[in-house]
Amino acid sequence: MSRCPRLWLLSCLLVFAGPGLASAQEHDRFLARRKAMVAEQIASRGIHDPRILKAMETVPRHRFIPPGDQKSAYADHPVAIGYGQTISQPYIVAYMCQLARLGAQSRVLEVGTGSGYHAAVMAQIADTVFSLEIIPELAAKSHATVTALGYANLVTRQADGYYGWLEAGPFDAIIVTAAADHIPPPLIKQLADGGRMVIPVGHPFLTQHLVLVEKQDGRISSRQLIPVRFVPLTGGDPP
Amino acid sequence: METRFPCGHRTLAVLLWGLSFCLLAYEVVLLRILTYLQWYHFAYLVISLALLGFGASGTLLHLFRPFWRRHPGGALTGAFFLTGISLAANRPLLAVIPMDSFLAVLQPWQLVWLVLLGLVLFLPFFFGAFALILVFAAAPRRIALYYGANLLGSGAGALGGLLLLYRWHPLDIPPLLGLMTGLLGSVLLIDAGLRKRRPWVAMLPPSRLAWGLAGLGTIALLGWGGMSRAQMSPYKALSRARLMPGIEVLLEHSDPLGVLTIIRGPTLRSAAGLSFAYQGDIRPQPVAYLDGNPLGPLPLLDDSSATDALRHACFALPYRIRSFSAGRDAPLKVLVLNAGPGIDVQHALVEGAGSVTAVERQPGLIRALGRLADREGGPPTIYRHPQVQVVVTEPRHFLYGDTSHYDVVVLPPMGGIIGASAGMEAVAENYLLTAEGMTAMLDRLSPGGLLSASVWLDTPLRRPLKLFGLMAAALEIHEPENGDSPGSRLAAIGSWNLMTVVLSRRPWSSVERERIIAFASREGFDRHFLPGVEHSSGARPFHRLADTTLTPTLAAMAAGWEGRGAIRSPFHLDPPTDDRPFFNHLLTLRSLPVMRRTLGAAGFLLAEWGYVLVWITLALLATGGGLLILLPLSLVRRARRRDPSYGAAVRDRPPGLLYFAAIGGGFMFLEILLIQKMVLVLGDPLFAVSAVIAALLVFAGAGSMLSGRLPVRWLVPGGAALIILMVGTLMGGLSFWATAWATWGMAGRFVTVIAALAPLALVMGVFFPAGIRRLEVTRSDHLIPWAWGINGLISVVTTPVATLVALNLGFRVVGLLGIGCYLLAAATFNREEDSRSRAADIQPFIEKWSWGRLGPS
Repeated sequence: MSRCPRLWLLSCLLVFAGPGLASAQEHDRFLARRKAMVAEQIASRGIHDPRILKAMETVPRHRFIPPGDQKSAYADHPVAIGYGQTISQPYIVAYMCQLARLGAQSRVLEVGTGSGYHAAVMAQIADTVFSLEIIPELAAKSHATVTALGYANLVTRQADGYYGWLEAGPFDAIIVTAAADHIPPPLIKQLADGGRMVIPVGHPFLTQHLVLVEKQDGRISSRQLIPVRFVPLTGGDPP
Repeated sequence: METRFPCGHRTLAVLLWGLSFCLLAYEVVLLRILTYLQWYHFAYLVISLALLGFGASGTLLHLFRPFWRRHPGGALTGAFFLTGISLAANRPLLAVIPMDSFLAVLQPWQLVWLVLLGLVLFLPFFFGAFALILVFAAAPRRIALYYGANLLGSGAGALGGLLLLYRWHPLDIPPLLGLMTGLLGSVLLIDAGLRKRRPWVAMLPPSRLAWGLAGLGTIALLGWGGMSRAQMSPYKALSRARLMPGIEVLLEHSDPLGVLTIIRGPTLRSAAGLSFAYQGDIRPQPVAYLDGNPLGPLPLLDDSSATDALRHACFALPYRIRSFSAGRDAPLKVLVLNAGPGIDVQHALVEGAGSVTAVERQPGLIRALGRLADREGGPPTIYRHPQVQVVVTEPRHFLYGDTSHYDVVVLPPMGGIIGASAGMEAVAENYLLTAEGMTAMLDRLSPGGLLSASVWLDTPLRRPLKLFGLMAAALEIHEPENGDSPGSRLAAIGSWNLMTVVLSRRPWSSVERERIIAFASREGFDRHFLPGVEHSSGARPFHRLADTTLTPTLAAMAAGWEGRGAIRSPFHLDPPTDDRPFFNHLLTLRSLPVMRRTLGAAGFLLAEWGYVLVWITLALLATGGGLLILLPLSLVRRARRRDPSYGAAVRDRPPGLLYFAAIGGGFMFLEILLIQKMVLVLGDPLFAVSAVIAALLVFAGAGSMLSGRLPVRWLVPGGAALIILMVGTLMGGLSFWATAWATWGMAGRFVTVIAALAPLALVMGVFFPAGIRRLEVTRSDHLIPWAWGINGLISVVTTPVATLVALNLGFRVVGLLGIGCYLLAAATFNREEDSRSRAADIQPFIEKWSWGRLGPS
């Protein structure tokens, strides 16, 4: 009988602390997978900027993915998030951040918030990130996610990204997540001199190449970059 | 003893006519359904599936002979109702099977869905063919009537399918055909009572009434039970556009050429090839889609900013090169091929064209644009502009029949902003982008005329190189005596994602070169090729491509045949010809590692997905054919070998089966050849498929029946000789026929094609009955199921094989293989035993074994 109070106490501890312990375990599990993702999918492919690696290691990617697909959160491919949209492959997110040359003082515009993951990663690096999403449901969902995660320097809005965010510009970097047949002239106008714009071209599930648009002394130029894992086809200049 | 069915033989013939009509109409409609839901290359799969269903039903009949012998009426009625139910079930089942050919490379389990989809599409053919061959096998004395009804119904169905597509959305037609089949099955029930002259109440005993109502009720429930119809692939451009907020469907129109959808919304903007230097606004424009693939934006006629943007696109180059209006008496004449909704037509008017001829092969599009313009608040159509003449025909036909000359000939951008969508077209023929098509365009240029074509930049670069090479080759073919290299008359500039190539009938003057340089510099376009001028992409390009081979490759191509021969590209860049009209087929074995390295395993598959799918289709059909036809027959044969009552002949090695394999392959090789070549005459794959299938079915069936009146001895060798003669005449004179018939309307060309194919089909129809006769006289009739199975299997597998041969070796080789197969058949045909006999003697055997074929091969 003397053991009964101890058993009771132990039971109470398990009942009340159980969820917390499970959550901590889940947190540790995702953290381990995130670290593995950074090491195996990003650093091993030539992205060594410590700020990008740190951001990718910090942002809980699984929180941006529909609950049923969280097992795929850290896999080396894009994941569908509904409404015909995807959350990009982790490597592509990191590669686009590298191309945009984000710094601590950067003001960044993202056209196409989607899940909000890419914006959250950039918010870990840049000063302020402004993100526009045209699909109302996605805009509401991503806003709720980034608010819950406490990103104070990430501002989202539901609007057509074609016109950019005039009052917040000019921007040091603009990330366009959906390719169109032309680059909207308002976005080019809102790109700061010396600024960089990154656009993926290809199918959302299989980005074929990225286009980097640069504005230098008023001259607009572009560079096509293939986000290859290994050796570029024709020895194109490294980004 | 002939089995009796519960209705009169004339009624039964009418029912078989109706059933055959439904099956063939279903096949035609299925082509359109798969093109709408997925992509066009599924056509090959459909034709093969049909044959697989017919062959497999013959196997089933063979295996369960005792059962249907006991219950022929019930089996026949059941087959009718099951055909109707499986047709009606198409609608809900297509909606719930999450098959997407686009995702198959990322999700291997998609192949399971593909097989399941194949089964759903296969069942109507399977049950329908079961009903047909049940009648053939059970009522041999009436075979001529029933077989004739079957063939005539099939031929009518090929045409009827097209007519149905004019009235209904393709996804709504299978339930209609299912209902028609169910009603035909109900007639079987009712007619039994009529024949016995009983009161009407007795005509439908409660059990029959219950079965009939259950069958029709099931069809109605499946077809119209409120279940949603299948949606097109979410990866098609229209599906993605419709996800945007504020999208309004202005119009949806379905006809045999496709489902046209026009939408508008605040986010739909298009400005292909636009310069970065352009500072203006791009206003939202309605966009037209055909089967979910973009046709292009509708011109905004009331908006100056839209017209201004056109002048800042790289495809404005031809209008910047020459000042057409200066010193000219005649107004600028422009020809726009594949004009679509008319952006390039509007562009020509903006640039000062006095007259624009717009050629568009989609009559539904032109009509739809007119209907929209008539609505209050609807977008006006450019095709009502007084300076625009619209010609609704296939562009290649227009070029055959036209005699005018133009200052500028324009081809709209080809490929796609999303490269993989162009990969879906890898096996689709395009007779405009061939050396012959391009030289026909050159024929239409005035002495100082320009031909302008644009292409999206892909990764790795392939289509821009192929287009430039094609235009260079066309110049050399068109003017072989000209001493200049083609490069002296070519120029290419590019934006960040589009390249425009302009070809001139005469070498560039220094002034023209200066204008090209000035335009490119002003708008921020790179000069990828301009003779005698250093290419901007070598110095400080505006748009640096990942693939640096563009400029040197264009320079080599511009140097002529020798230069092109020195190009070491891993892709298939040879200029397409009418014999291999596959502009979008670029994959070679050598290019596989390059594509995989550049795009990853999944990426390179999608880049040429249409081509890869043909291989997958071949593998699936070979496996399915083996499992459904050869394996069961093999098991039956093995069982009979153990049965001493079948005698020694069964244990011998099957003789003469090569003959049936050869005629199966030969028939399909020639059918595919004819379908593809008649695309050139008729201008549309769907019409070509319908005309060729209708002609082959009706006239091959007639040939099969006529063979009974001809001496067997000379049927096969004589038939093979006639096939060589007629195929040679048809193919050799194809260009002449296409030119001669170019100005005819579609109906005239359609009927003429059927008439032209009739003699060939008549001859092709004699081989199968002649082969059956051979088995009979050699006392090998126990091998007839084998002959049938092998013939069916080879027919099935030949379809994708013919496609692959055409892609890699050309249609000439496909034709030669078809002829070769018939020669092989003639060589393996033993004529000794039957030199005095007539084919009429074999009629009982045909009656006994003519299973599961809409048309004999």
